[in-house]
Amino acid sequence: MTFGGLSRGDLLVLVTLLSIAGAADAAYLTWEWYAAQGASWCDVNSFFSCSRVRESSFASLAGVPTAMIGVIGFLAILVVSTLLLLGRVRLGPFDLDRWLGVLASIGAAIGLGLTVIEVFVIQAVCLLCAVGFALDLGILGLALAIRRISPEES
Amino acid sequence: MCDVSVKIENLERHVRDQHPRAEIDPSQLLTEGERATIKAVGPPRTTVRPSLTMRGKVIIGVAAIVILLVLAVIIVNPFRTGLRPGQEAPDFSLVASDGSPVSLLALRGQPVLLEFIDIDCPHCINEAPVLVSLYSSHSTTVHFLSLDVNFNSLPPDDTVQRIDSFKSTQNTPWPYALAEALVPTYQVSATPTMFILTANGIILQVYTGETPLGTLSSALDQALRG
Repeated sequence: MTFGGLSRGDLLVLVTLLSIAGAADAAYLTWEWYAAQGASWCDVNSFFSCSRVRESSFASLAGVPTAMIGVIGFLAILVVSTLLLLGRVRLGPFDLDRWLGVLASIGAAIGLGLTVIEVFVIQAVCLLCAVGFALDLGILGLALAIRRISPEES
Repeated sequence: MCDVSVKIENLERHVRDQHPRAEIDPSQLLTEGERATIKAVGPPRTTVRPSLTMRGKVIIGVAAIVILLVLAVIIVNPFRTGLRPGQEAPDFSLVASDGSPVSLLALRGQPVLLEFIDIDCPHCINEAPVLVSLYSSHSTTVHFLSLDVNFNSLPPDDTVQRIDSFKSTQNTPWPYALAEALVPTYQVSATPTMFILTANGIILQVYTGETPLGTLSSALDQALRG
């Protein structure tokens, strides 16, 4: 069985690709929070400004950059998708397909929340954060598609 | 039959694959209870690795290229706006936090260090001692002016009282003014942003973020040389 002509393996590789990109994106934002000196190369104007978002109180939680949560989330998705690609369908008592869906849903929900905060509260959008949210949505869509193709049918 | 240890869920497959000549019906190996247990536990922990299709490989390649392109566009950032060196700094008239009038045009005749800040921005706070040091060496030959653009839109808003408090805490003697309206004019995208203007009001350099004393000092010296 396929989904739009794509096999389960195709979809899993796409999830792996998106999670690598997401982890790199979030890792850069984390580094920038710790190390950058005020300017960001993804500043376009006063609305599309990574600096402005980073300088807001939403950029960190108890001293931990919000982007760090993104790194952890994308890496967790990367681990799950890699295990699925290696042919594993369960990890202990856990159904990995289900975990992929749960992690993708959490990521998309957090991404949506942060985007709403950026637009309506901070009134500035960080383009790299928007890329992260887009990757979250892509992974969620793929995770839902993967659940429709059982491992035995691939 | 053989000494190989086999998990119960794999027993039927093992007998079928490894002992095809044995006079045993693999389907009779397990009881109904054992089958129910296996079903409840779920599918085996590992299956065959999922394969890729040609169409999938093409789409994966395209997706990888698109992701790289998007990241490249953001890195190169051809859409970045802002005033650039060589342009004339737009004039403005404001009221400083001490109540005195401030006009860029009135500062002509000496180079100007024009700083756009938000008093809540940590990088602006870090930069303040650098500017104080710079002011001590250039105050007689260069005008210093800091404009608060209230960049961080979260409360509390920047006010004249808060600016005065910032000035006394940071010991910055030059004039400050609220200038949120100048953000689009100067296309400020981050704070602090510092413009080094020549005596004629031409932008010589633009620095964004925390900038070292030596860099700013060199720029001001260049502005003084004309």
